[in-house]
Amino acid sequence: MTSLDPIQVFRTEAAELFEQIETGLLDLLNDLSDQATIDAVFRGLHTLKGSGSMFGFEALAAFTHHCETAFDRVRKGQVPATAELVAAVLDAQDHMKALVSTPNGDHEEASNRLLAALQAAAGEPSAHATVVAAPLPKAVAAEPSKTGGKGFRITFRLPVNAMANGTNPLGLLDELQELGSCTVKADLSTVPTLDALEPTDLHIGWTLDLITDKGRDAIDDVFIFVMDDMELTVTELAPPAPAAAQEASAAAAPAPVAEVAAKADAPKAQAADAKHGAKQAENVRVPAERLDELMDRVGELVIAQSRLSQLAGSSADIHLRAVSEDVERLSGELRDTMMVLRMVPVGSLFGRFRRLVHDLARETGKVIELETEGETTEVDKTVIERLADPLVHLVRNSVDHGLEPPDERVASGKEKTGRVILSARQSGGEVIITIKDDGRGVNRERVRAKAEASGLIQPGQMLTDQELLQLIFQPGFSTAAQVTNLSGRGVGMDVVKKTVEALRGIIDIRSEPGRGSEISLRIPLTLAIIDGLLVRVGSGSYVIPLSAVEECLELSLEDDLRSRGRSFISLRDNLVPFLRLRELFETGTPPDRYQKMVVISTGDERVGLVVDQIIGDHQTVIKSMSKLHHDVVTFSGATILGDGNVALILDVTHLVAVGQQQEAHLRAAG
Amino acid sequence: MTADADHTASDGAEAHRLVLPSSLSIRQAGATRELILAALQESGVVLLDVPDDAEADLSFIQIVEAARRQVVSHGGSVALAHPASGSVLTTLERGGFLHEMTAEDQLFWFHRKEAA
Repeated sequence: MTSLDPIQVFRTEAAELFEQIETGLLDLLNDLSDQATIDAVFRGLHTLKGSGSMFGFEALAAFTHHCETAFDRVRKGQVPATAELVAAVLDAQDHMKALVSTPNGDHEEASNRLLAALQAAAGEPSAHATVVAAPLPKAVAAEPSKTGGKGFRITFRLPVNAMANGTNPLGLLDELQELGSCTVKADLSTVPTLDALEPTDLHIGWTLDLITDKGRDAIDDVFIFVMDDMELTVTELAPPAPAAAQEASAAAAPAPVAEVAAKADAPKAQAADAKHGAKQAENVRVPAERLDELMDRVGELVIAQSRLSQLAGSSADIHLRAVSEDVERLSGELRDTMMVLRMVPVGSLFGRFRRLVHDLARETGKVIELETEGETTEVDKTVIERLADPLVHLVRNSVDHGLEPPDERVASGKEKTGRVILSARQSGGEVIITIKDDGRGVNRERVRAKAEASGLIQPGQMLTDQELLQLIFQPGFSTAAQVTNLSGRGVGMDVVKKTVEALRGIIDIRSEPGRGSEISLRIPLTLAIIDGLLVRVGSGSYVIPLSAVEECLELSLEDDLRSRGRSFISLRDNLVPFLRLRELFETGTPPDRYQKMVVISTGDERVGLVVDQIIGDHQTVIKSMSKLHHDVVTFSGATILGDGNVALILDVTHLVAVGQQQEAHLRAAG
Repeated sequence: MTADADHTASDGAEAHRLVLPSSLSIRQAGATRELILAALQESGVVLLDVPDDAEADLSFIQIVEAARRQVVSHGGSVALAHPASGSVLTTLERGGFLHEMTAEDQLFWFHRKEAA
């Protein structure tokens, strides 16, 4: 097993913290007085600073310290949270990401510029123009309290492996001493003899008497990294008599008035964190590549199981058959469990669009509200990763081309605020993600004019509304009169469509002039293993994804002869085009006497595939086509059968499109 | 009276002066422990000579405290060749080891015979 790179671990943790902070900041824009959200953002910044410092990202820690300070002032009510401050911290956060990715880069100028903006937004005097890599505040020597704050007795013992894991107990003590007047006493009672000492273990505990005006939360914040595993007791002390206040630090132990164990209070802090997506202790972080490795192994197991089933099926040994059935059941369960492991909520993808929309609103001057629905819908992690860029483009497109400027919306009787709704829902083996806006809708006249001008269609060519709308997915097509930074470069929608189709998905568009547009992406839940229908065409075996199969029919010789030349079959009063795969694949073999037709569909469109034999269902481990075959459009991949032979997996989307073209040609021919 | 003479006299054995390396942080904690353990096994009376420019952290303080418990439990003696200074003193201050120090601790770390 390979050991984890601590820097990479920090980067992963930082990415989650950035997401948490960003979510908090964007939530805050909805209610600038929400104290829980302000606390959550502060906590995120505090953790980032501490973690950064621990892992040697000093520039990040120093820079984040200023953002944390700004939010600390908000937290304490010294300055109000404002949209300007949130925007400044969002900008600063982008810079923090750069400090994480390239800690040794030249960031000084950007740091100073952003901190100046932050100070202006936070209403701070610009006392420090050059603050990059400024050391974190050093511990102040304990001195008698002049603040008249609350007294706490803090007794703590860190996990025995704390030092080995990078926690610096002295740093925690320094932070506690920064909170106010403090005396510290080390407890050496459990230090073992030298021969029994594991030298990196920690056996020292501490007791502190602290007088602070910063409250209990500030104490908890110090232990934020180690709270879960440590022993911590915080006891509120009776307020010292005014005359004795100066001697508080040297006083004998004051009487406890309330004792609260840290573990009892921890849920309060954790509940706030959980609201903002923080990971709970029971989660295990696993590198994505290990999941991929496991998936590959499961795939190989499924193939081996398939071979075993085939052998058992041809054997008279009932014991072998029983074992084979057990293995088949177990491998199926293992596959299902594996699939669940790879599933991640689509909310992790949606989260980033809140920031995108916030930035787009600033850039365009439009007033935009983003709504998200179905964030808990789960999709294979690979699907999530590949969908990110297409969705960014679609959201940009909605904002740039769809939503009107506020005055135009008001003039047309709409609300000033334009809405973009991003939603996800599961439907069978697919997830449907839609991007909907209430903007001006697609301008059909402009689409037609552009398509005619670029030769995509003939002048005056008859097109259905759907065909016209689908033109926007053609390469090089853009109706934007003005190219902007957001979209309109004509390089987006065709790439979006290709990406979706590469995921074996379908893209669909609906648009109503003046009311808005809706683009739907139908994507399979997983890309790794699918249930397939194994068929024979000529001497070759092929797999049709079972999720696309509607029904199977027998194509009698009479029906075949009758339909020749038209390749249509009447299915419950609907004409369905069909493709003879034997001819399409040029097998050179005569048709089977009892040919079968497998009717497949994508959305509302159907097509029949004529095959020689339907063999049965098949757990299909998808293997990518080689680079030599990347331009083969009829097949989306290949799989290995139980007998070791290879079967090609049919690209349903492509075949349906071919069938629809065939139908269109025949209709055009009358 | 120096600590050296003190311990030599009290234990009646020749003290082994162990000159420690400058790096006394957690990264070298294993090696530091081994050095002191070996010296104690060899002589039983050990003077720890901490260089002026030593970089010590909490792990070193804990090792020294463990060594003090070792000699109490197994016999022998351990002392500092010089009163604590530099990073050792800083760590003692930051770590709260100076608060309510016993006379014994005062003697060990600062060679002072009277409690503060």
